[in-house]
Amino acid sequence: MIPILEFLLRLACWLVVAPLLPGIINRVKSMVAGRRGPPVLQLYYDLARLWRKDVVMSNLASPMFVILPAVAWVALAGATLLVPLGPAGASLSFRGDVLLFIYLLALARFCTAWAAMETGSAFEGMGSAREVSYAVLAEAAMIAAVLSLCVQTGSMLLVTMLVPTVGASAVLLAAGLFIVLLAENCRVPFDDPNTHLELTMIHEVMVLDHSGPPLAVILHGASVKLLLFAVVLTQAVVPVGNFGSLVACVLLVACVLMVTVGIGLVESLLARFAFRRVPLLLTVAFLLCLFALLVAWKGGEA
Amino acid sequence: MGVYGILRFSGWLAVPPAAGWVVIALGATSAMLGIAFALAQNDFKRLLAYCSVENVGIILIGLGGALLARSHGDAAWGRLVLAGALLHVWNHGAFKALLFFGAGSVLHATGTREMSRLGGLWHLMPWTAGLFAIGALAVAGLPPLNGFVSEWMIYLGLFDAVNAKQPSAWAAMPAAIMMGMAGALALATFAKAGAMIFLGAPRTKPAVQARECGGWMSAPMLVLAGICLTLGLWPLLVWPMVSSAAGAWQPTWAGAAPPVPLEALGWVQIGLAALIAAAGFLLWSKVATPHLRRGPTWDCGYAAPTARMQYSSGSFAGIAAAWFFWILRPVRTLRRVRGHFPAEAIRLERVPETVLDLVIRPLAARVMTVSTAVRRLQHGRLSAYILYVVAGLAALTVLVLIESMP
Repeated sequence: MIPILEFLLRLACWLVVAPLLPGIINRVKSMVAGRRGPPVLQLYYDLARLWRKDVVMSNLASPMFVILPAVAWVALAGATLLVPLGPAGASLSFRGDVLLFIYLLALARFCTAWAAMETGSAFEGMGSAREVSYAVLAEAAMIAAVLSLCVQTGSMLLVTMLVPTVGASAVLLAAGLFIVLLAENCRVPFDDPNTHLELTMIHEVMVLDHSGPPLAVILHGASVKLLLFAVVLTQAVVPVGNFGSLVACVLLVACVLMVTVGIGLVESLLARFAFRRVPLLLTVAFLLCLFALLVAWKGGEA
Repeated sequence: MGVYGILRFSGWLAVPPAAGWVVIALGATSAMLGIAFALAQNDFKRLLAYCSVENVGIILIGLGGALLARSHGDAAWGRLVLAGALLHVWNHGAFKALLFFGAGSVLHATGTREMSRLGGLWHLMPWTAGLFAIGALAVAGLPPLNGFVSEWMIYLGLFDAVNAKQPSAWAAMPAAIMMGMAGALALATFAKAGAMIFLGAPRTKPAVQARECGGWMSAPMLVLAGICLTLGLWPLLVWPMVSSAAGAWQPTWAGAAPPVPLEALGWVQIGLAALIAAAGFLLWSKVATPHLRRGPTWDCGYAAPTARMQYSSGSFAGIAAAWFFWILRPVRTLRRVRGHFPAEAIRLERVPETVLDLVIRPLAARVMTVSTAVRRLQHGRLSAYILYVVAGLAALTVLVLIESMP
């Protein structure tokens, strides 16, 4: 009974905490800009409001337009079960779970892109094309990062992989993964979540035609994905698992908060890049992860 | 011959140690370039054919890894990549057959293979659309279907190879990264193919008049989709076969227990599939009430969107295809807006049949020219033939004399 309870409690924790992150980012942005800004809990209100609303669907869209956002949400929620939380470990853990994690994110991406194409809208086509194309480079960076962690720890389990050694490799990995986080979650400088020009959006333009509960599911899934990346980035760099449970807990929360504030600061200080420069930045992320891999390799030999 | 031939002969004959490097390099290159070509295609059957190039590339990565492992003292990871490659042969057979059946149905119903002339077919051919989508998920290597299981095994083997820190790690590292990129490109390719054929609004008349094919065309697809799902949900089912095949290739690798937690993966995949079904059903039943309103695609307030305003196959592939322009060689036509009363402006971009037009056709033409020239020597006159023989003998004599000179 207790394991099941713990399992459900953890999942609930992930799902409840996630919408907090966009709120914190927006608060940081408004503080930097000298505004009051929306409440930190704004996304919770939005989700509740959307969940109660009715849906308007395009004439062209099939039922998959509604079902696929649910599939994407399940994939992201399932990915949370694989991610360890410091010394507490993960709910689900087996050799090779790290690849399942990467491919669950890919499943979510496929579903969002497919659902966007249901409407036959040119804008949404643009968004899907960008999402799936930039993901190619992000995927290369992620595989390189995983390989580097794998070389460092000699393991294929997320639980043991995410206890890295401190060093040059960790710094490179942190920089590379942070860029991947910005790209995969469609933040500035890859995408501007607040822009008013559909031509320049990625994620927001894919969900233009969604409304009501499916939109709520998509927005919640996006926040879960952000939290996932923040937690994985933290643990790939800071060996949270080596500490006692209380210290680890505080450390994890502090680091995730730091990453979130970092995203907010990046969004306040940088403008969105032109789309032709996006692949360059992602290539930089890939190279950073690749160098982290090579440093880890040399470190193992020495 | 193909993969089976390479497997049979490499398992039977002594193979030089360099062969593994060559095979894995060939596999990685063919995986990347195959899927890049597939992404750029507008003809959906060509797209599927190029995608087969990618999948054979993945199989060759596994096989090359196995050869490398064998030459480095039967490393345990070799068994894993070989098993993954063997399973991928089987999986590829299932999902690619499913996709080709789907493509055949669409071709039969519409009479065109050009994706830029199709669209919106899910409405008229719901079975084909749904089954094609399952095939697309499987070929993109996404859980919980079978493509993921075999790619997962190959990845695990490659990661183990990197961990083993033998020289073969330098092959496994780029192979794993290129496989990841090829996987992401495959996802883009099949998001494009599915979307262009089945989603949105019909772009031309044949797409409006399509009808679902009969049960005899859907039933095989249903069976193949069932195989894809079964192999994905319970990969342990085929492990004995894969294991005995790996044992036939390399006797020391014949073992009963899988070296990876296939059973755990199976349970996770089953759980995932069940949750997907439940969540999809719940959300749809919440949304599909009598209140569900339908309207034209909003698209930021376009008053009258037309089917021609949709994103096309070329534009969807544009970003990633531009990275491979050096090999895809796209043909661009650009007529700019000129004058105060411009007549028309055109911007067309088309990826030609690069391999056929730029490699095979010129090569074949060259071979034909040379053969025609050489053929002139053969005219049926006996006296000339005797002259050839005498000239040949004279040349040989001169050669021998030069050799024997001190």
